[in-house]
Amino acid sequence: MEEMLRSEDLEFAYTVEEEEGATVQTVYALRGVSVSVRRGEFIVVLGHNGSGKSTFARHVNALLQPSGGSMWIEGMNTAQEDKIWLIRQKAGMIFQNPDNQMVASIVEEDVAFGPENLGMQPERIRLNVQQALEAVGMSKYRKSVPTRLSGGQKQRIAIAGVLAMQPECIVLDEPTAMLDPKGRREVMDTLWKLNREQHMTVIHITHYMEEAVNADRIIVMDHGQVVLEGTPREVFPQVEVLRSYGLDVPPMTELAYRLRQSGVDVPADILTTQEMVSALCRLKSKT
Amino acid sequence: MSIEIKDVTYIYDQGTPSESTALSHVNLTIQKGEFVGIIGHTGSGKSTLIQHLNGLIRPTGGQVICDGEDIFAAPTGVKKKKELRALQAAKMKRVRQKVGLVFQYPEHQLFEMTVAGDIAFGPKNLGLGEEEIERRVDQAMAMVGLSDEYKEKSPFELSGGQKRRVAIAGVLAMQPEYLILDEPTAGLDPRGRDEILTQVQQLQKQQGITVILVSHSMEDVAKYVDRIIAMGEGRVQLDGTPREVFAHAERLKAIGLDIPQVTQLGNLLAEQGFSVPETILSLDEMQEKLLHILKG
Amino acid sequence: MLRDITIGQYYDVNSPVHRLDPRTKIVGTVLYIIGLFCVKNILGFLVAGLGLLAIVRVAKIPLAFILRGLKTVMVLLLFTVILNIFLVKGDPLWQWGFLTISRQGVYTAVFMALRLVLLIIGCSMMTLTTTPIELTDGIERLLRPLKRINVPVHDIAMIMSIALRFIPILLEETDKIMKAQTARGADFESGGLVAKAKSLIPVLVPLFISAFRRADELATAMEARCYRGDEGRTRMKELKYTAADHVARGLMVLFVAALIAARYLPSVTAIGAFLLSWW
Repeated sequence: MEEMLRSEDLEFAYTVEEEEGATVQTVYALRGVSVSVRRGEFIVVLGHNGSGKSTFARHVNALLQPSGGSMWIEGMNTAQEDKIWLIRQKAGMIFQNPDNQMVASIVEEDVAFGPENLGMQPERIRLNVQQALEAVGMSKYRKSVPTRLSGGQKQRIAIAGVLAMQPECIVLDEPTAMLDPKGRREVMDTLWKLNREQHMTVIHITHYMEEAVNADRIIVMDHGQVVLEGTPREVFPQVEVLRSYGLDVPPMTELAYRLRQSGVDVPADILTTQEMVSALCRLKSKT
Repeated sequence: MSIEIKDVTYIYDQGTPSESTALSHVNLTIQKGEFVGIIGHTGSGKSTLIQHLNGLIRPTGGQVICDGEDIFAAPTGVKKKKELRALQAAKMKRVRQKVGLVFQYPEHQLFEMTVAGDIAFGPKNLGLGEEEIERRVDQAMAMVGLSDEYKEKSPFELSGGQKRRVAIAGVLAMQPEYLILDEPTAGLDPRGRDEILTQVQQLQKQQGITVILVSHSMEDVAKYVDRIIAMGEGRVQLDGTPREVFAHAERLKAIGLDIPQVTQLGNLLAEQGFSVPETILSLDEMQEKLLHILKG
Repeated sequence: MLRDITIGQYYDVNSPVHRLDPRTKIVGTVLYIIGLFCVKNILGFLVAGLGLLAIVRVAKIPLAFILRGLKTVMVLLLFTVILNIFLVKGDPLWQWGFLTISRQGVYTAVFMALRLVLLIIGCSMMTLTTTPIELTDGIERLLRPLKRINVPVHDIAMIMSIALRFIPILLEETDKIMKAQTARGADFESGGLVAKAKSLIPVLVPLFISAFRRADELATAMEARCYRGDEGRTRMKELKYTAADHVARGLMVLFVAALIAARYLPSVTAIGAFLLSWW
């Protein structure tokens, strides 16, 4: 499959001045991150707070510039200044707080903000806005006021705002962290739909392991580095390793791990309750 | 000793077109020493409910009784308006000292230059002496696991999880007997989540503080609390031990709530003829049960 | 209480007035205000009242809704009326102690009240039929000529619309922070002015920090959505005058002309009477 984005030995450092202003400390938020994402992939990035995952996300659409290495979107280097706006159009970004990324006081005006900045023609903007709102299932709220919407709905509007710019890829920086379970489900369902139906490349950053269960690939970050990478079935059975990075595993995978430790022969890569039930049924019929 | 909610109804914007009932005829008693979890989806009335417990919201109807004292009843035998108001204010202060409330994202309320200064805000408002304030600040910091070196730091330089601890310490420094926490783990990573909840559990177990935990995570309430109150449509829908409450999967689903995944697994296994008679609440229980079944 | 304020609120129905270009409504309102200040007699107020009533009707806004909005400015209204009744000197109608009510006083008071009421209704008609965004768009377009003398018209309009978006959020946040500090024993009610001002620090500091954090995040989000000022920016809803706007403008000019004419009408009749008597 075609490559969507690639980072090569990406490094990001910034300096912190100590209180007296004398000592200057260099902090590495990213140290040598090399990642490649194919078109249409659903990637979940896991890592505890401060592991560098947000910093990585901000490099994808050139909100941050690497201090070392490089980031490429569809063959364009994010360091090329004349390509910045094209890159930001191709790689849309969603942030954690749904309130702090909405500009306008009416839903459809907010969704139109991106296309307007790109200088699209009014008819085209209208069409894009309409399609984007449909894609996130918010068409009937197009005239609504954001303050009356739930967190999940606001986040879907934010996604629509990115979709209206017709991106190739969406990067989401903990979009579900501030939502209740219902809002979380709404956002995840929307992302899955976009990925399946429109073949959208999704890079989803989260703390919730259950959101990673269906991903094509999981990237685990710690201390500014990629420490684990693979399908959920490859990553989650490594219970001890994940724990050492301050992360959980889905409860069913943990149960499988514990049972195996006690000598029960269930597969290590169980992710869902359904899989656990079938595995246990198989075992029981044997005994 | 207890907090009692008697037939409490609360109506927002009464008399306007946007009028809506947040609580309707709620009856509850929270005994001293309990660890209570309140669950309910957004808009179920749980936030409104907890703000009644320390008198931040005055019920449209009904009573809130804290340790035998009706917190909204006008003092009797006093005629002068000024005196009445002073008495009422003193009572509110007493109630708010006794019932500490930690809001969602409490770190957004930090304002002092130093961690110690911020934690001292509550005790200062109680009019305590300097020595006592300092003692309480030290104590509160110890309770949330912040070492002394943080005392003179600016709270705004700390990490998200540490800021939250400072904010919780700010309420603990008032030495509340009841502690209400509205989603104390929102936005934290798994490690931060576990740390905060473990600390809260210690407060309840070791200090004997009554804890009321509002949470969206069924896994967390199943793991930590002794009693669950499920809110829905402004009413108490279910009230009992986690085992009792999570036995009602259908009822919970109807008010937009789930049961923990491991409980779900238990139910599915029971359907498949495994002998899992009761509601399973934790991985430990499930593991034990399964080992028993599979290995005899 | 806060909900009763209809000034600045938008009333969401589809009416010919709602559909008008915001520029038509802004300019119309300004003209109307000028006209209203030219009114000097009952006839003028009658014309203004009837004209406004017609607009309210066409805009499909219930009269009761507008009147409810007036309730909030009642205090201000009463204040002006009372002040005028007692302070304007002239032929005494009634006297009690040092208080005198004069004929001129009653006149001025009534006229003042009428003018205020008509002014408030007139202005709220603009905001009730125009969304805040349309308003800022309209203002941006109307001020566009000022760009030539380097006035940052686009930025001003953007600042206005972002402010409109965040005012409700910050109000809610203020409420939340006050409650949280109250839960820590803060007292915002008792004490003198200094104590009260001091008690606001625990609210204002977090509020400012939050506002800055929001501003920072919003700026990043806007940048991520390719915002770079008005350079190369288009609009989904380009403001365009339609036939309805031309009609409305014509009617508005007539209306304001009538308001001004009413001022001279009594003198016209006086001249007529004078001429007649000559005859």
